[in-house]
Formats: sequence, C-alpha cells, structure tokens
Amino acid sequence: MAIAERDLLQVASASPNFVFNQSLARTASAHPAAPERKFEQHQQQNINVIPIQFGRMVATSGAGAGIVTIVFRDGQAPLCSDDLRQEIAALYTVSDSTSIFEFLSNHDGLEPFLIEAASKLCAIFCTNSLLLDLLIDPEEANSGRLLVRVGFTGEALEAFELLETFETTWWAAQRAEVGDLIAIDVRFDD
Amino acid sequence: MTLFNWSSFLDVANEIKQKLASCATFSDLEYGYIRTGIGRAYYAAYWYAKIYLSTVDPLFKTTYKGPGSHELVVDKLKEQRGKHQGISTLLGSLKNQRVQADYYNDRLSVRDLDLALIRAENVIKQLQEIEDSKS
Repeated sequence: MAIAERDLLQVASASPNFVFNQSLARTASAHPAAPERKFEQHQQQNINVIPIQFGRMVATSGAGAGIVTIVFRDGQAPLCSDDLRQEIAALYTVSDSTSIFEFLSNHDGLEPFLIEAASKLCAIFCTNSLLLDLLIDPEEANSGRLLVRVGFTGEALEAFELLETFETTWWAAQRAEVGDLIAIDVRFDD
Repeated sequence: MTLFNWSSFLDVANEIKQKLASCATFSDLEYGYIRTGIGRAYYAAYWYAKIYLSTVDPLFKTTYKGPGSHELVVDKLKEQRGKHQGISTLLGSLKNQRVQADYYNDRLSVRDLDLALIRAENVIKQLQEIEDSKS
C-alpha cells in the first residue's frame, strides 16, 4: 500500500462520517504535482478534492455535519491539525492564538477554509496582510465566530467592492459548510 | 402617536460622517462619533430588515427582543430566496462592525464608518427594490 493510502486510511478511520474511497487516495496521491486538476469522479460521491498549492491537497466531504478533512503533502504523513494551525499562523497574524485554536478545536474542519481563503483574499486585495480574530457578541449567546480581516489601505467603497468580489467568486459557495463560523472583513490601515 | 422611522438612524450616521469630514484632528470624542455612527447605520438596516421580514412572514414578530433577536433577522433573511442571501451577508457584516464598535478596543477610522454606511444603504436599497418589484 502506498504511504499516502495508508495515511489516508488512518485519517478516515478517525472520521466516522467519511466513506473512505481507495480511488480517492490513489488519484490524489498520483497528482500532487498537478494542483489544477479537478477530480470529477469524486464529486459524484459528494467529495470534493480541492488543490491548494503545489504538493498539497484538501479533501472535504460535502455533508455539512460530517465535514472531514484529509490533507497530505507529497505522500508524507498527512497534515494533522497542528500542521494546519502552523500553516494558519504563518498566513495570518493571529490575535489570540489560545482562544482561536480552542475555537478551531471545537469546530472541526474550518482550517482548510482559512488556508484557502487566505490565498483568495491575498489575490483579490493584493496584500499579504491578514488578521485572524475571534469575535464574540456579548449580547448574543453562542455568538463566537472567527473574523478574518484583510489589511487594506484604500477607501471604503473599494473595500466593499473587493469584498463583494470575494463573496461572489468563492466565499458564497463555501457557506454551506462554513456557516457563520467565519466572517470576512477589512481592517483599514494607514 | 407617530411611529419612529428607524431609517432616520441612517441620517444620523450620515450627519456624523459630514461632521467628521471637517475635523483636522481626531480625539476620543471623534472616535466616539465614529463608533456611534457605525451603530446607528447598523440599527437603520436592522430595523428596516426586521420590519420587512414581518411583511413577508406574518409569524415574524418585530416586537421580539429576547436573546438572539439580532442574529434571528440575519438568519431569517438567509432563509428567503434570491437576493436575500446577499442582503443577509451584508447585514451580518454590518452587525459584526457594530459589535466591534461597541465592545472592542480596536482603532477605527472614518473609513469604517463609510463602510458601515455603504452596507446599511445597500441593505435598505436592495430590500426596497424587492418590495417595489412586488407592488
């Protein structure tokens, strides 16, 4: 058995909502160098394989309650949540890492969305300035959500339009799985 | 008794914006105006959406003020079809801005108020367009 298949099996076995598929393992492991490739056959099984960057892929099931994430890098051991969080800490300025990573521990499957959102936002806003906050509304019970803020030096109308672009080109399609747990906004910089 | 027109809050927020436009320097008073303006912009949109929802769903009570009443408006908009999804997103973002303005110590600028006004005006305008298309 290829190492990627073994690793995927280990991840899948820890996730009862995910129907493990050998074909998924073989296909994904065969194409780490072709991140643009889409895996149509898996979408029929309600599984999307989303290439993020060279040598790295994320697979999520489409069932909202059963989000399962499988991440691996070039046939090495699959990335565990600690790896994902290191990635997040590299992409974002994390304001309160203890609270934020505790929030991520309590809400499975958000890390891949944060990672992919970072690349989309950086492309749209032409910046690498990303801040990750935890926003809690004291007036509402269970209101905690992650707030991604993009550093932006332009005017409000331009920010509004760029946020709309992000929403319509990618983020709206992720809402079924992310729900209200991640919000996106700008932080106006001087 | 004449009912209060909640959209007047939008005028208040715009007046704050106009007032700040002539300020050369900002102290805590001006930053306080910014936070107040964001809150008023949010409440203008929130109340417009809340009253709108009561017209499309007679079971939706505008008088409910209990826990979760703000999130309820955002969620209820999301349940509607078509353009309501985008309006819900805008109101949700505006609500987040209002929470930051009222509870978080991050430094805010006039551009934050501008963005809140753009969002509030868009929420109201898009709901008005839906209402107009039905009449």
